[in-house]
Amino acid sequence: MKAFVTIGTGKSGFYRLLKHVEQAINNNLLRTDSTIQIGGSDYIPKSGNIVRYLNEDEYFKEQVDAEIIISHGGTGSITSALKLKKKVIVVPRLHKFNEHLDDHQLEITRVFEKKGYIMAVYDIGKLDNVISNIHYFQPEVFQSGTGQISTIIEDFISRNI
Amino acid sequence: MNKVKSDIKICVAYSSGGHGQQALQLTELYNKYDFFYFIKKDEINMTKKLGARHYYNYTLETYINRSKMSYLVWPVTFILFSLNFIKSIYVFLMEKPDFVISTGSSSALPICIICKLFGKKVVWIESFAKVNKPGRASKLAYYISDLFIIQWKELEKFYPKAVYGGSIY
Repeated sequence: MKAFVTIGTGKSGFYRLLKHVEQAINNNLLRTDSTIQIGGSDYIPKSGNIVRYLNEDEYFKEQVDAEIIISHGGTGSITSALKLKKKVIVVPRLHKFNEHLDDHQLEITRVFEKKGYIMAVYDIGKLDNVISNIHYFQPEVFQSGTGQISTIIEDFISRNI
Repeated sequence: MNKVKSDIKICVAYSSGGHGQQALQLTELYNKYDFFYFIKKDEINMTKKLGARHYYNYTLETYINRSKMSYLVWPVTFILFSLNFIKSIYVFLMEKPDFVISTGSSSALPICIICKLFGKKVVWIESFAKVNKPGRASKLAYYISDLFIIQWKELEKFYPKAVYGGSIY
């Protein structure tokens, strides 16, 4: 299965996820041409197609070409994949492992998991299992925002000039 | 004189990461007005593509790796906040925006405070990632904003004055 793995554009790495993805490729759970976007990570996996950063068009193409997307718990990464109706496995960065400054990724991951949009992995040891079973997962369709926020702001501006 | 949309100047302020991705969902809105970005330095490469004027603020992640240098977080945060204040005054005097729109987080607060002090309107959009609990920067933003938008109904109890806008994505 071809995956696109993304850990975000921040400076901190995500060794826990990258190491296990590398192993999943070595164990033939994921294809060797799976793209792994590693951002500012010090650790560079020895398997997979490694990139640090992608521009908008490249990122879009990687998402489209992938069968599954494995993402950190960034809202942009998750929602852009859901809008493309992709199956998404989210591994939230955890404060206790110094992966992020707090646990807000955990919060959004739990909400999305509960709503049936994504599969979540909190204990990284379960990643292989989730990848193996992703075939059976039928995600709920994510309803994109209807531009309501745009309208609210535009109205507000008109009333305040 | 009646103002047309292109006479109205907007400052779009945000820090990085998800705050940036959310802010950029509204570029169609910004393009109706005269606008500029006030953003984290590394973001500029992305927004240069969009062809808008920009200034950069001082965001912690540009300077230190939080997990490797946690002891530096507070002193560096204090220095950066002060620098952001000075830079915000500069940006305000250069551009004189009528409105500031921000998706957070804390490095965007100084420009909001400056705009408020000069009698301009502040629009703050709470992050999509904040579902059940308010963000830290947002508590202060709530007091100074003229329009405070939340993306999850669960936050209504924390922000009675807030307007629910649904998902920005």
